[in-house]
Amino acid sequence: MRSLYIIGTAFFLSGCSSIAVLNPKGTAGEKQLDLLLLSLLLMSIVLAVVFTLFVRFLVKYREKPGQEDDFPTQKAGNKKLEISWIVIPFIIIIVLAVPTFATTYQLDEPFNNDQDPLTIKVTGEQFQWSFYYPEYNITSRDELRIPVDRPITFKLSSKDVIHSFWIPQLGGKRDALPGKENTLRMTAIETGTYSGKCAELCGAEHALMTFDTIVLDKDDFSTWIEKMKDGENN
Amino acid sequence: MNSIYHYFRTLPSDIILADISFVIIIIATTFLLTRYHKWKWLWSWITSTDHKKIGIMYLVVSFLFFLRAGLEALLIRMQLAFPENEFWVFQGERFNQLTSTHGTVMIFLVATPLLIGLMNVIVPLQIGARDVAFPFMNSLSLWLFISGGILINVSFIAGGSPNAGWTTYAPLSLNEFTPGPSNSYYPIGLQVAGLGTIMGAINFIVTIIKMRAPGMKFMRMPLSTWSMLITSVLIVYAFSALAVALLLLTFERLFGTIILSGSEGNPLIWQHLFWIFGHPEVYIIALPAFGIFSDVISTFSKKKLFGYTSMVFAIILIGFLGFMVWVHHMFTVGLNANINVFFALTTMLIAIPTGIKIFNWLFTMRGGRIRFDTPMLYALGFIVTFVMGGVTGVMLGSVPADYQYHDSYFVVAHLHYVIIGATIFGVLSGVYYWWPKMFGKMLNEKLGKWNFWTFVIGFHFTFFPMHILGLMGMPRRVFTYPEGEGLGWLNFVSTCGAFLMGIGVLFFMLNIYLTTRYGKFVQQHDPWMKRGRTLEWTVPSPPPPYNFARVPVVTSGEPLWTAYEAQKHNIDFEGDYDEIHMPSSSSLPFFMGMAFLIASFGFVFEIWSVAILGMAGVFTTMTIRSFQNKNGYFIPKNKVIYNDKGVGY
Repeated sequence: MRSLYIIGTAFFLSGCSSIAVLNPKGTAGEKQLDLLLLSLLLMSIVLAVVFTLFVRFLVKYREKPGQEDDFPTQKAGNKKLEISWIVIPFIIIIVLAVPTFATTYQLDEPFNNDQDPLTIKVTGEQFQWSFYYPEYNITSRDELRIPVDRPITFKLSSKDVIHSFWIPQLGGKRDALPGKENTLRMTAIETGTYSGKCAELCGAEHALMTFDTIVLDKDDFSTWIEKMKDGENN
Repeated sequence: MNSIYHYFRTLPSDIILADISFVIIIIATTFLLTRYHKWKWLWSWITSTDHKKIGIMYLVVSFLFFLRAGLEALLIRMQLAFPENEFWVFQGERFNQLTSTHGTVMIFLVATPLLIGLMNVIVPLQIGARDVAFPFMNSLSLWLFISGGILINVSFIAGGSPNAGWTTYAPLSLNEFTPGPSNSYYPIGLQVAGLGTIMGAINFIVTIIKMRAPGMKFMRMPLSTWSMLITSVLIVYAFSALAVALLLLTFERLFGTIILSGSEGNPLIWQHLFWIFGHPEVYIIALPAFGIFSDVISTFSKKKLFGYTSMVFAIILIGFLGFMVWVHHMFTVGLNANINVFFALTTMLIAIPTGIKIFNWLFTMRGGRIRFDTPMLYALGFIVTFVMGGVTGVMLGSVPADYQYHDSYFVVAHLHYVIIGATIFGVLSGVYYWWPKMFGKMLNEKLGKWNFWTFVIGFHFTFFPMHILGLMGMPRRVFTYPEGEGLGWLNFVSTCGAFLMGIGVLFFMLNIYLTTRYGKFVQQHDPWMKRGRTLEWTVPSPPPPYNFARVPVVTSGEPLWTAYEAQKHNIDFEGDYDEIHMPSSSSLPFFMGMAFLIASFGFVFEIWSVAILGMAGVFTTMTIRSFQNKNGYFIPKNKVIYNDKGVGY
């Protein structure tokens, strides 16, 4: 299966490095891409079969001149064919469902303490994001800085309406709800700056509720933390 | 006077333009109706209880709404054509109003009623009935739909349109965040229209179960009728859930209950109720289209529908599963993994009955004699488009991957592929197919082909790039996007495609105008080159008010085709002529609808005297109806005989 992914990935990434979801820089994003490619592959098979039959039948059975008064044979159905297009889709669905289930549970699993996860409390409000780092007691607005290769646990909530926290290149989104705390886990695997957005309509400036995600290596991250602490103290 | 002047001075230019065109349209319509002495004619339509006329009015009104919401789509695409664009007034709040009303109008006031209208005309004809079971209620359904529709449509010139998306999620939709009448229009307008839809569904269920011609067993019913029966059952359950949700939202906005609020209540209650309605709604607007395509593909291939029985069970299964998948709209709200996994499975399972239908359609064409008239072109365009929308549906069902797609342009692409691909193509296919039955004239084939190709090519140019935009990280419902993310040119392509679709719609309107003005009446019961198979093609085009002069006796699933195979010109109508009982026309549904409209305005603006006045009107008309003794009238036997022998055959 893995080799199929690689072929698929190579094919897709060749011209698509600007497509964020196909070019993940986080663990969650990678797993989600695997599923995307698997489902795309399976669905391509379906599309190929349907379109082949479609074109073939249209070409072969179009009405030719002189056939206007024909009475073609009326077939009510065909048991074997009808069973085959119940069973084969069922198999395809199982092939897709098993890894879907596995990944869903994996992404839901809390990090171990020995992985030293970093907790960040994310609060959405009209129309900005704030990021509170309980470990260091600092708050950053509209700019999220995280260390590379260290698991991050985001605790999401909202002060007003529903927002949705999304960094396409690192992984999928999770809603920030008022009066409820949601959890999202991911690990960034490459330093760089990635754009983050609000994905749930939250009012007039929904489109402008963006933030930068800056993934730093360990040292740069510590330096930033120190700087922020100084800033808070002043 | 000064304050009125001031009010107009402060209005944004688009609303002034809308006001002016509204006034011009009213004056022009009034003038034309008076000039050509058509008021009486208009009134005879308004008060009609004939299912064909009601169906046509459904089609006309929802087509007007379609034009309005389509115009909004063009404005949306103009604003999004370039990065950091500022088109006219449509940024921020105004853009949210555009997308919200575009979605609301298209789903509730276009897709649903277009299909209900078409089926209103066709279903009684297909089962050999003279009308629906409750003609008065049918008219009432229409007028409730129209008054709900008017309410939603005038909102933007009277206090502001709904602006929390067509899904109107709480708490954004609550007074705290969107004060004023805007989001009150949504629950109140849809409540009125929804009541009409539920009544319509009950009407269809009773009509199909009780009024079939002798010999029309369930398993002999054409697929359009079958799909409308299942759809009606879905409507009764799904719209009831919607009614509850809307009632909660109304109470929250008008009386400050705290059920849906973020602090004391739970906004997820709205999402659950809305999607318990919302997902079946997808099938409510898809299944009748599936029915139409089944009839059209079979007719234009000259073949019996392949796997009729499995088609029927596939519809039932889709309808059943349709109620078990709603959480897939809520994968990212943070429900636990067990729940998400369950709904992922049910979502993927829907692909199986849908696949059955696709393959049955393909194999219906095998061994046939396929003609490519416009109805068939739309059916073929549907297969391609819907399969593409279907596979992205399965992809969306894969929970972790959905965390990426959710609320992005990928979903926008998917939903337009299925809704336009199924519903709009289905309605266009059905309208071209049954137009000669409804009006006695064939729509122009050449313009039909122009209409089809511009609309379909435009469609793919508009929506295919949106898949990629979603994967590039463009969230839905944004009014702008930054320069540097490479989203510009795909959005521009999409905008161009939207205008091509607009041209397609213009071809359609041109076709209707030219056909109505210059088209020749077809003198046949079956104008489709003797390919008709079902009962609607056995009666004159257009059919007389009573549809069937003598009720047919059905002996097979495709009575007309069976007759053709026996070298007959039409089916045999046996038995004696008799006088025919007809329902009387009534103005009460119209007045009841208007009373609802007045009451709704009262509720929206919280002017209780107006609300009470409107509700008093509603109850007065209901009382009048209860004591009315209008038992219809009879068309005498000799007139029926004269009409039947004189026209058609």
